[in-house]
Amino acid sequence: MRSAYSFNLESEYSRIAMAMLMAVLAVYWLALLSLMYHSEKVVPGIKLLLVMAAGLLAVKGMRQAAALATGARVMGKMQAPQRLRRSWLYASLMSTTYAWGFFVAGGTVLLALSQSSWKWTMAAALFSTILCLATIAVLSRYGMLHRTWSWIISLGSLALVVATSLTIGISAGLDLFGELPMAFQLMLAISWPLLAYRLALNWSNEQPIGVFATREANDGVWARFAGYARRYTILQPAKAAHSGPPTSFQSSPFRAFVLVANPLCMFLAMGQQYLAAPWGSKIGALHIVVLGFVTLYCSWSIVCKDLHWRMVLAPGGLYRGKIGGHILRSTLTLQYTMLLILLLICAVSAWAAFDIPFKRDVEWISKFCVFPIEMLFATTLAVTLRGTGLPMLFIGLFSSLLIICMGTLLWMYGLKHQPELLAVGPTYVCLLLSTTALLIMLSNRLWTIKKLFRFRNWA
Amino acid sequence: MTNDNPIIETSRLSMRYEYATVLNDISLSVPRGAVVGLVGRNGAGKSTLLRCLVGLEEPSQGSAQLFNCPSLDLTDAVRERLGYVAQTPDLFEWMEVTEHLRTIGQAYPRWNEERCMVLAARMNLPIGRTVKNLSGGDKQKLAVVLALAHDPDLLLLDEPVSNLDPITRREFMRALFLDRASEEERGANKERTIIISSHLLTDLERVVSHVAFMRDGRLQLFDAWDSLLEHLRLVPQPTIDVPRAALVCKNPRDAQCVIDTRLAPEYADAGRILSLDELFEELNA
Repeated sequence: MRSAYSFNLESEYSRIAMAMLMAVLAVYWLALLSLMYHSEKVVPGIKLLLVMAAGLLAVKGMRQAAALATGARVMGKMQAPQRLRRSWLYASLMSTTYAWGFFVAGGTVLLALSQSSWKWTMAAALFSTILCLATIAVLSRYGMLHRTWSWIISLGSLALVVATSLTIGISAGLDLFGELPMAFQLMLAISWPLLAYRLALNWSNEQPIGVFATREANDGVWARFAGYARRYTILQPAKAAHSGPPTSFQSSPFRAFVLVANPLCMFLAMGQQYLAAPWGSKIGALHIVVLGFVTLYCSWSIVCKDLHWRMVLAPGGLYRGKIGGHILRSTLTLQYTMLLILLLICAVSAWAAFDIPFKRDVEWISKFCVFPIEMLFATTLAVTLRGTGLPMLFIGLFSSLLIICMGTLLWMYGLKHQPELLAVGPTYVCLLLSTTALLIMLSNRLWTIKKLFRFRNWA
Repeated sequence: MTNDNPIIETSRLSMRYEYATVLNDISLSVPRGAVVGLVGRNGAGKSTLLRCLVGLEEPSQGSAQLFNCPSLDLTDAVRERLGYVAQTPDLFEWMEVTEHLRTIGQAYPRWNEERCMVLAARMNLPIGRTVKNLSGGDKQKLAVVLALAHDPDLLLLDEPVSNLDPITRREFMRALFLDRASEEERGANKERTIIISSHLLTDLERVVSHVAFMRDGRLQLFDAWDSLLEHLRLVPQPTIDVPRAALVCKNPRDAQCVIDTRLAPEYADAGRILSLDELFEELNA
């Protein structure tokens, strides 16, 4: 595979960010390598490095796959010479393969020299698997492969991560993967080179036709899902300062849902330890601080449904006095939906993979009986704080305050001996609901059309 | 290839979807050097026809050829001579305009950076900006410059000026023909063939050599514009029988019809000549 032309497959910003992250990992790798001869305690560090490298490689793979698909679409629609498209294809695949090679070499050296229980083939197997999944998911989302793949990979990966984290834990899950038979790991290790070769072979002479249909998948269930998700505009704090024409960011429903799913995944991950509050138990200061973090995440991902000038002009549309409530309803619709979906996936996958009965799921959920109300409160607080119009300042101050509080509480009382503040019962629920009602009224006063239109999604 | 060989040729081209027939039995032959105005109402099938011509859609029936090469299997030699502007331009959003121009331009042997920059400047394209920050009109300009910069022999333009202001539109029209004139001056015998689909009929009227009218997926009328001007007449509904073949269209509402005087010479001095706008209205009445 060779590229006869020179291309910039991603933006300057992405290239620099990726190079910097790779440099950081390289420094970390060197540090681990030098420590290896002095200490046997570097194994957790190696595991952390491999996980971070896998994440970075997944991002790299997804970006390159998106660039590959975009190139095929743009050049195909112009009917540019095939050799240009071929070169683009090779450049994209080679860029990913170089990164893969870089990570595989680094990871394999560390595993081979360390006392880790993971086999030395684990790095190549992990990176190849992650890269293949990321590439196939993105290519299918752009219509270059059958679109069902995107669904299978996205839902399957999510189910696996959630189920593993709630049962044996991510670390133990990785241990299981690292201890797979070497022959199996070697088979996984060659999956990326094989996939890259296959893609290059398939599309070197033949133009992928599916990519012309739309920017992203547009058929069946996905079309309905994407169409519905597009009605929601993410009110990102950074977006408010953007004065140019609307960017393509909002056009991707996938990202929108990922952003909303982000706090929910956090809830579940943190929930086991900090957010559990069975009826009648007492909650500590740490619980309140964690709720603060939830609010912080919510404030990054609040959404507004049908943010369009038509909504303002239409009778009964958006006007001052009901915008805060509208944003809250929009955000909660997505959050509760995502929470239910996550719980369902989690329960089914835990049952399928680890034979955990649904009765245990119900017991587990009962620990979070007031969580939906706490989520309502946290989201309302987030919407209200964003309505003040000082989002970046707020996020900076609020996150600093939370980190200081959390650090102080952990330093003073440790994780298991937190001072108890409130009993989870009718008083607590009434307190949350009445505060929420007050906050809704306040947010309705704070949010104006002018503030909202800074996030507009039309030219 | 001789001068008489058509540059574009379609034979019984049809395109059917589950819900509609978008193209219906279109046979077309466009000679070298022709500037064809492709006109029709919204949904008449103009864009689909252009997409079939460049091989972006596979017709349900029939075939299309560019430079004697099947549209669905265009060789790189043909692609180098082809410029196409889609109705909604697809671009590399993360690139700067100059970078975008160079990225695409490097594949074309006849691409010339200086010529490209002159074109961009003439169309007032902000070359220092990132594509994602361009306005809709500027994106359209970039798509047009990309299609023109490699000096193609065949240009297919799908509503290329719909988002452009009148000054840029004029510059665009000039760009299409100034280069062609310079080629002719050099005696290179490399006349450019153009198909341009547009609703701006007054703009088209000034530049076209041929006009193709489409209606409901059919090619209603295709001829040299000079010939249509010379032979078509708008006359009040005739009382005596006109040969059926001579009757181009009838407008019962205004009791008028368009007659081809080549087939009904007795009407040569009757009625009046039609502008492109009027002919379009009569054909779609």
